[in-house]
Amino acid sequence: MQIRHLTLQGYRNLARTELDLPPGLVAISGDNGQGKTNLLEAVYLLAGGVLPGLRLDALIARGGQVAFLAADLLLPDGLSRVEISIAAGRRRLSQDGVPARRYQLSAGGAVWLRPDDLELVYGAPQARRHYLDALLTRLSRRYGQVLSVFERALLQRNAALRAGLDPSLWEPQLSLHGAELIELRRRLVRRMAELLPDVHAELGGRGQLAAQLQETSDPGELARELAARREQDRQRGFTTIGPQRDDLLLSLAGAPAQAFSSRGEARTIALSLRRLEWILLSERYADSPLLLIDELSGELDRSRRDRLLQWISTTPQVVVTDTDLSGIAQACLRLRVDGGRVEVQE
Amino acid sequence: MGTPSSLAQLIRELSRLPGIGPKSAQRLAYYLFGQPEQEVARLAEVLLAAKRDLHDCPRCFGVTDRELCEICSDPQRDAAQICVVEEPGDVLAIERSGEYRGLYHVLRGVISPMRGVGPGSLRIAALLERVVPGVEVILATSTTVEGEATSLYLQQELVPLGARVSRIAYGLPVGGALEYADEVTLGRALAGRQVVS
Ligand SMILES: [Zn+2]
Repeated sequence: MQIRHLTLQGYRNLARTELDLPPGLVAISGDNGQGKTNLLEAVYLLAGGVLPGLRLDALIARGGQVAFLAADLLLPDGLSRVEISIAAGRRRLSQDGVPARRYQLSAGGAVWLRPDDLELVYGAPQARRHYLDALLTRLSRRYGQVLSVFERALLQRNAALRAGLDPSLWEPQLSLHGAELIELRRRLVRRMAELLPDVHAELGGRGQLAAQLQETSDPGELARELAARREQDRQRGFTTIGPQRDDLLLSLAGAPAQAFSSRGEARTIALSLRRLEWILLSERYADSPLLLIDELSGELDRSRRDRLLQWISTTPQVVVTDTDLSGIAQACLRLRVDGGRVEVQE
Repeated sequence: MGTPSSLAQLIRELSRLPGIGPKSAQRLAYYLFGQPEQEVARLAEVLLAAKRDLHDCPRCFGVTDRELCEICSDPQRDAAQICVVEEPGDVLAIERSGEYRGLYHVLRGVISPMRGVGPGSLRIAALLERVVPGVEVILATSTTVEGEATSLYLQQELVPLGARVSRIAYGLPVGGALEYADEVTLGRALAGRQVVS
């Protein structure tokens, strides 16, 4: 996928923006806090990216009511017009003029490399669950549907626990949909485990990188275990087992990466997870995802940077940001973001 | 140019109606403003008369302008079937399908702890009073998470009373609300209901 034209109105701190974007490397420079990352985020959302836990209201410019984002996307079968409008806590999507409930994305979308990707290694389990959920939502429409029903049932059971209402009413739906989420995650993680060692080695990582699910319940036992934990869950005020409590264990040369990896090792592990995302999306949609890299110099360290440049050179379209990108010779378009205004530089 | 205050007030009131956004409210307000005065007066009277004359049916909790609603007081309807729905609008949707000749019971909502709604806030006690052994109760709450949980609660309460319980078999997508189902789908859903007990 590539993005050919971008329109933004009333989006975060960015001024009204109309941009034509060429294939190849697009370099966005600007000081911190000027809106570079917001610009990448807009492109990511338009390319069908999923950001778990995103607050829609935060996307609307301060004092505004509506945020509007649109893009002409180049898919394998031609150009497609995608529009997102956000107002009153709701997001409306359309593709080629037809309202879309969820993204009917027919191509690889985008992969976004962020400075806080280190959270994938060092952060709480939630960061790794978000990674799995966001990736699975893009690989399988079914997963996204089941996840949203599961999350709704979970909110209701938790509310019931706190309000002294009967939590059991929500358990059949939780165990039915939860079991399906676990099975789909297992399938993805099996594929990850096959690919990760090579991906990691190609990015210069040392030691075998392994991934494995840490589950709080077996899918077949979920109904029984939820029932067995009602009293305990009532005391704690939330549901303590199920896929919303599971984790993705990463280990490097046999040792848990969260506890034992150095900062440099963690960078390579995080980069490997993003590379894996890129590979799986490419496979699924027979199309190279758009690559977005926030703070290119955050990836410094010579060998990692060389390998990243290798990745960039084999991707049809890449958007990178940093405070200074004058050293990147191969840029096809240079943009500068200053106080929310996006300007094309000659 | 500022909006005159009475117009702004009208827009504000209209936009409080369900399903009416600010843009639709504005369009309606300008439309009403463009109508002859007697048309607007007639609309106002109809609204007031509806509010004055309509009330809950004391048996099924549908909406009626009679003592007992048209369906509850119709001797032709099959009293051995009670179809349980969430809202009064759902009765109309099922009636339009033309496939059902039994009675109704309107819960006036669904169980939702997130909104502070437990079984006690719904018209469930009144339903249980209507049930005698052998009556078939058709659970036609929606397939949303809340509709499914409410249906489960009702099953647990109804089975010990000797009711025959069935759940409407939706060909609807997961999360579908009854209101949005077309007549053909609803007719089929009723015909293909699953016996729970
Ligand atoms: Zn009635």
